[in-house]
Amino acid sequence: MPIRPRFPLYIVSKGRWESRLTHRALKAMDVDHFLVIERSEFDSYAEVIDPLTLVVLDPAYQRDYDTFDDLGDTKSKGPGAARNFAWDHAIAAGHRYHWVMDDNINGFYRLNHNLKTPVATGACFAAMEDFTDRYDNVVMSGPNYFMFAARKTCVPAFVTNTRIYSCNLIRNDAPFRWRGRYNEDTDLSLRMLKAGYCTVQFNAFLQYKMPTQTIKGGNTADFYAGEGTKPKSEMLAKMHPDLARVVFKFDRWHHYVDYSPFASMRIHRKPGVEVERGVNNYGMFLQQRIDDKWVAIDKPRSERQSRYSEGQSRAAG
Amino acid sequence: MPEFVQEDLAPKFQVIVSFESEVDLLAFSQLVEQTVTPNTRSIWYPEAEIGRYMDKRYADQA
Repeated sequence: MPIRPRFPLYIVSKGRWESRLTHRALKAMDVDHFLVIERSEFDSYAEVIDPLTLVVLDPAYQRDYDTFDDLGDTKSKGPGAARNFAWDHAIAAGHRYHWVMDDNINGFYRLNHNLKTPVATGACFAAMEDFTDRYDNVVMSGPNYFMFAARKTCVPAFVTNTRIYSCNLIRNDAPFRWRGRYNEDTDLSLRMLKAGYCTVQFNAFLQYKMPTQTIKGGNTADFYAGEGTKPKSEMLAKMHPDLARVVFKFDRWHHYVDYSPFASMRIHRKPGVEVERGVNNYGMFLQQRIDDKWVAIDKPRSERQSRYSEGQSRAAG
Repeated sequence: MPEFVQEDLAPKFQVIVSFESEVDLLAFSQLVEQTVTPNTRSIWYPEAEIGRYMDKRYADQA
């Protein structure tokens, strides 16, 4: 039996029934999931997606949402309210964790043997779930961004106590909820870390999220197209003045966050949890497309690596 | 956890090679048997193989 995630996955989506990138990615991986959408967009989504996967956001979550400003309903409140709704939806269904994802993730990858390889199975989510569930002080985890894991650098399989973004596995009993119109991921990560909990960001698994402002819908129309990225960065600096500041680089405003105060916090394994030694690939097999057929291979072959080794041997004499 | 083998493939040495003219650049290109143009920012020697991933995948069955 193929291995699949144990916990429910939610895609929070707005105005993206045409692109629906994350939905397409999960469907291709044969992973069941929900889309949390607004009532006014139900018909548009239902035309292209099985209505059984659609969950309509309770407007009370938007009405009661803590935007962390005084602007009320004068502008969009961002995805946080829908994320909180997903959180409670998972609790109501009796789950201990839930996944919540942005709607502009184009695919999921596994970094191994210095290659970022597409993952065509939901087993990667199961592997992240099992790892996270071993520790009693890890309340949020998720895959790193594709572009942030350097392929040729010796990065670790995971790093702890940093920001988890866009694809979050959250422990449902964590005493937090999303807040703010923007940068909710960073804010939630920081509040968890400040409270003494740990986060785990995987490099072994990656998400390819389309860059901000490249896909219509979502926050693009509501925020960035009109006001740029400065208010977004300013809000985070206001939320966490001790750790975040606004900087201008690469022709736009960004935020810089100092995670170093959390570097010494250690993840703590639950009592009684035994981890089997050795590799568990969760039923994932590496395949290469040869002559229009997927063929199992042991590992990616690198011509350059072998030539490099030959060169080293010759140099050594 | 699944297998995770990640080597340090970053360059061990890097040098800046300067050319007086495009002719010299072309001569260098022929010498190292690689395409080197005024737009080339860096090369590997021996020539690097591009790690292609779109013809590979991790799937459920072998």
